[in-house]
Amino acid sequence: MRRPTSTLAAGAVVLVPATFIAVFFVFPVASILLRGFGDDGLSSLVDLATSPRQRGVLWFTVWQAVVSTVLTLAVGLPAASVVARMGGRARRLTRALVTVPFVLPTVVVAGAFEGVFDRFGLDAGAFRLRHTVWAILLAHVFFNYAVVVRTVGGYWAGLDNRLEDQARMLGANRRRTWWEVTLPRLRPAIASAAAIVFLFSFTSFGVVLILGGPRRATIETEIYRYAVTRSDFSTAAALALVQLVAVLALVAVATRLERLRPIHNRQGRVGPGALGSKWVTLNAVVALALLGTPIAVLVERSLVAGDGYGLANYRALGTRVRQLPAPATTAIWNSLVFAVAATAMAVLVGTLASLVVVHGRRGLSRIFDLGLTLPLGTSAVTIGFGMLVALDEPPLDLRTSWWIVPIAHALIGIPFVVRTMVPVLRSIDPRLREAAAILGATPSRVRREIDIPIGARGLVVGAGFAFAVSLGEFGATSFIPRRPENLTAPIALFRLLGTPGDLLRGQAMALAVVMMVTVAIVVVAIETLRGSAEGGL
Amino acid sequence: MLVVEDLTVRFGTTTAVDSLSFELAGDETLALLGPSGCGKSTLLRAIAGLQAVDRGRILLDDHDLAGAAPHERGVGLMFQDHALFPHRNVADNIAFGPRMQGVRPEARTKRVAELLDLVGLPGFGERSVATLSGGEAQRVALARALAPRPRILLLDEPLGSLDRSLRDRLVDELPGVLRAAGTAAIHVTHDHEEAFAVGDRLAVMTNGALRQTGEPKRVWEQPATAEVARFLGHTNIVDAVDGLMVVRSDAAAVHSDGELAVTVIRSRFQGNDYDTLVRSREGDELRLTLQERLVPGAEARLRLDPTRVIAIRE
Repeated sequence: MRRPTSTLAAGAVVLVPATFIAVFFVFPVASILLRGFGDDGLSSLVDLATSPRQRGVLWFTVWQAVVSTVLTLAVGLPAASVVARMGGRARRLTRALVTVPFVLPTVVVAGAFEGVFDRFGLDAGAFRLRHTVWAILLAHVFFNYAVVVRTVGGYWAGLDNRLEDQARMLGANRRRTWWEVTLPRLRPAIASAAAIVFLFSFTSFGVVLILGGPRRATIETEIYRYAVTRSDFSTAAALALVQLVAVLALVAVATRLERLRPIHNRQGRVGPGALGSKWVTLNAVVALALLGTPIAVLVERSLVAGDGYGLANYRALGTRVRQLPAPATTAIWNSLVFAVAATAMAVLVGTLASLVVVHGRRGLSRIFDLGLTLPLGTSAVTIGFGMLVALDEPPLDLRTSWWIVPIAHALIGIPFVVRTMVPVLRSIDPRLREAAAILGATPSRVRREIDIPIGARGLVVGAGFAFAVSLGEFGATSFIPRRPENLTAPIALFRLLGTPGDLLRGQAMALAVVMMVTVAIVVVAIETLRGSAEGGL
Repeated sequence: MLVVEDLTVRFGTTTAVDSLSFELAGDETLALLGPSGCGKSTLLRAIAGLQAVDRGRILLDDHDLAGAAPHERGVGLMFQDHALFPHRNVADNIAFGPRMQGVRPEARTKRVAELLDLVGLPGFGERSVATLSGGEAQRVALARALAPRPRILLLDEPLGSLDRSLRDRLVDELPGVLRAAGTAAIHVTHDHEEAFAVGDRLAVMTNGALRQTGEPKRVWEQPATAEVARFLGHTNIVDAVDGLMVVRSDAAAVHSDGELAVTVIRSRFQGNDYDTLVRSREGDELRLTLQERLVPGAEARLRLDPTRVIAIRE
């Protein structure tokens, strides 16, 4: 007894996200693959394998990711032990605070570290950090600290401490208990966090491009250099191919590890025991130094005016400088408008796609699940490059269109929407839908009355992430031809940072602060909502 | 009037509901009693349209429900754990069904107030469902199920999640509410006392089939099989000359020249009387309610009231 309208609606639910992903993701990525495997591409692939420079790039990409991961774990695990013992309120607050760096735009973080190097004279001399691998590693730890603290800390908080108590009763001392009982049980969470940190470091773009300087290159920055600076698309495509394969493998591993994480049985559980106050203080100091310093210095640098402090740098944002096609304030405005448009698209496509993942027939649900996870794994650079390569001919000549920026941002935001919506939708008691059906709601009415309102919380969180990601998006946007109406705040910041001179430096710092504050507001709002969602609807 | 004919539901190789047939009159309450896993919830879900049927027909007021979606059936269902919509308050939960039917807002408000009165929760409309106690949630769930005036109401272990005293109170109230609403109902439970209290008629279900149907008192006094007898709370089922015999726990009294010689195993004071376990000469253990305390290990003679001893011919 399906009515035509409900069939039409059901069709749209599948078709809208399928078309969007096909046209703006699958087609561009396929174009890269075609180029990568084409004649030019194949010879470029051979060059990649044989040229010492390219081999060096591949090697550097891997080892900086390994070292970044190890360092992040070394700093993050002790902090996770503290967070695991916090009460609900303190934990939420801490989680929100450490998450702010994680979602800060890469260019802002790069700018902040540049500021730190300026401020403390680390830009030259014996203790030079500027344009060294240490700058990159530090920034990666800064970014990914939150991943370890949240993933491991949350998991740790849920562990049943009675096993530890038992070990202590059986004669194991504190350290021994940690090593033999706690650590093995934390392993799934640590492995899952490590995989994610490795993935992020492996695909890190803005940080490497700005902080690494001209001589340090990873696969990501090489793709950019070949495609944008040298217009050598076949080498860029070959690199993108390598990157795509590596990232897909990493995503597969990360997803597998995440699934392996067991769910705690909370019945009769005893929380982790208390920690020494020295340990807590030590971790607070490390977190403050690591996360606080760059942010504090960034703010301080932005306020430098002549020999004293003032708002001159902020005022200067309104005037156009030679390096930018429009004033920085225009870039900020553009970014906000892009973020709204991108979020709207990501929410529409992501919501419909989530409904298909949760309610669709099995095959369809699988395809959607996979098709939507891929953009998350694919690096932003690959997405930007793909659009540059693929969307340059009618009827899809979007390179000069205003829409290309929000579309690229939406693609990156969709997985965030889906990943927050799907678990919420899955957690809805199926009997609520049955109850609604029995009370007379048609299947589409059930979606509207049950799934959408209950999923709305998840949606707000996902939309917030999509918004924050769009505001700071740099990788994909950097491939899009530069025109005044396309200028986003991250691109403007990148160009200001790339130009020597105190005046532009100051402006760059001010712009970075504005972006940071905007993103921080969004993140705190998300965390507040998420917190209240956790307490039951 | 509900007619179920030859209904069969299978899950893979297991048959949850096995060629089951029964009828239910317009305002009757059928207590469906059975152990967990006997298929009683599946039967309700099949009638509600939430479960596909492998064979058989379901007719509601002479209308075949085959192919009708749950929302088109005019059947109400109340779940054991309420399934109240967490994102709506009490009034909006109750108003949901009428809203789906396109009832106007003023009429809906009136209906909500009516039902809140009926279930004894006047003024609860604005409350959030998260603040309700178990019993209140149960009443709201009942009001919500009744609000769209279903032709038949299915109650799936509606009192199962409540504590004893609350359950007793609701068992007392439920028949009155159903009568006031004038709706037919199938009340599924695994508690025989609850089934006796709420049902105009009682059906005992095991392994996917109805074993016996009838007026509660009749079924209890004359169980058709040992299985049914056991499930109705009879504990003393012993071999007799031609089949089995059920000795009701209230069938015996201590009497110096009683015909039954027994050894006392234990005697436990339970308020009005003593819950006593004895062993007969034949080796059958009987659990009886006696007026006096007997010393464990002692011999005793009991007299049986023949009207309280039931013969079963299987």
